[in-house]
Amino acid sequence: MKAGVIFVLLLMLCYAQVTAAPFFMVSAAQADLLLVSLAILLVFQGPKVAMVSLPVIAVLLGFVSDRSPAVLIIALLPLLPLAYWLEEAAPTVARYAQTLFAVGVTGLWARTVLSITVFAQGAPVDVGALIFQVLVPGLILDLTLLSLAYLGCRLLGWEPRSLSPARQRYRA
Amino acid sequence: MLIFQRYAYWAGAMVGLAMVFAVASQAGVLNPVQGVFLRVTSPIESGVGSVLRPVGAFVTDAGRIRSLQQENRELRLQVEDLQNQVAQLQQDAAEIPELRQALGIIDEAGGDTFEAASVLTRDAFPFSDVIRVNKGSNDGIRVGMVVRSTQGSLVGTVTETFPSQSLVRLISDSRSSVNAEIAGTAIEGNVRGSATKTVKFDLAQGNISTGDQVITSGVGDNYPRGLPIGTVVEVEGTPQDLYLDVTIEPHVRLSRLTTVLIETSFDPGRQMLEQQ
Repeated sequence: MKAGVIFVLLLMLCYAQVTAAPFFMVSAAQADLLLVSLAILLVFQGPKVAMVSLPVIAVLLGFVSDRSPAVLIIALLPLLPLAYWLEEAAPTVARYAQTLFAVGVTGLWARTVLSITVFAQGAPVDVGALIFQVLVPGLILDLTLLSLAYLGCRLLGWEPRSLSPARQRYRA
Repeated sequence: MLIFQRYAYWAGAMVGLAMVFAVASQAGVLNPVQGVFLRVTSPIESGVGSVLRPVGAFVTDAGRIRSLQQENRELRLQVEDLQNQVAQLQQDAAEIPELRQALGIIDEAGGDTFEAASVLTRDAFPFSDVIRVNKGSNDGIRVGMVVRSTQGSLVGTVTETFPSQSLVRLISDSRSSVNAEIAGTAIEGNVRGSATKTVKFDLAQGNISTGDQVITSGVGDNYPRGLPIGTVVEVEGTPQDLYLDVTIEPHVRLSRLTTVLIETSFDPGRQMLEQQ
């Protein structure tokens, strides 16, 4: 039941990414709804849900857009290990700050990877535009959207979970 | 190193899955699956799109109310100007058959066929600008066909087809390249998109000024000659520069396309060469 709800939610978010998100562009960047959703799933539903959701997101978004599922998997891949590393390396830092950092870095990586694939398909390489019109505005958009989503989840009473896949198994 | 231990199998599986997808995509195995998926989920897509698109458009327009008011004033002036031009053209058009008959020219116009299609989604990732339309290979749509607005301006090219849907690369996509010219002159160049979806007229040399009309040149046989693309709105550079930095405003607002016409009668030379 829960898996079905998450699947339908992700499908609707994929369609939102290709119907509504283009209307909210800052410079050349638009908010990455799926990256933020994956981060929210990771923090509030646990790593197992996020581990399954990542390829599902890649396939769904790849099918409804012009992007390759293979590239989308690589683009989103760093989020989970990075978030887990932050949890282990900086346990005193608030989970919200850890999540912001992980999403920020993954967003920069994802946009760079996706832009490189477009350059490889014949678009002229424009590093200046990539940095100042894509990466920087995209970072701001992602962190703003994540903050709003995170706040909403906390207001609903959801608690952040451990990001360790093995450790979660022993939860009561 | 701990993160590699905890996530090593999963990360390895994801990289492997990505490779499988890459190979499957190259081999064309994913295409039929994607076609079935798009057909099955089209009702959800219509529902989500019909709700989100107007909301997005409204919120965007609300934030641009002043610029829209200014644009409205300018458009009213343009409409008046164009109405005057239409009246003049109608007079000219009435004379053309008579003149053709007099010169013995065979009328070849009227043979173009179009397939009207609705825009379903728009993937506006940086450097790319692609729309998906509800007509596909079952409707006779093929890769390379030229896509125009309902008023006839150039919109883009079909880049991928599924049985019931197709992907169209817009002229604002950085990968798009259209050989074009300034109407009424010999100035040729290349129309390209950019990261911010502004359309540039690259590699142009000559005396170009704002207000000039850009049309397809037909060079390369990828597009019919004479299709209107847009109006020059900004020219930067000096006469000493090898190429000018020319910005074009397309005649049609690409971000608000709802219906397009796919020219099914035009067979692009590029595709014929690729097939050979």
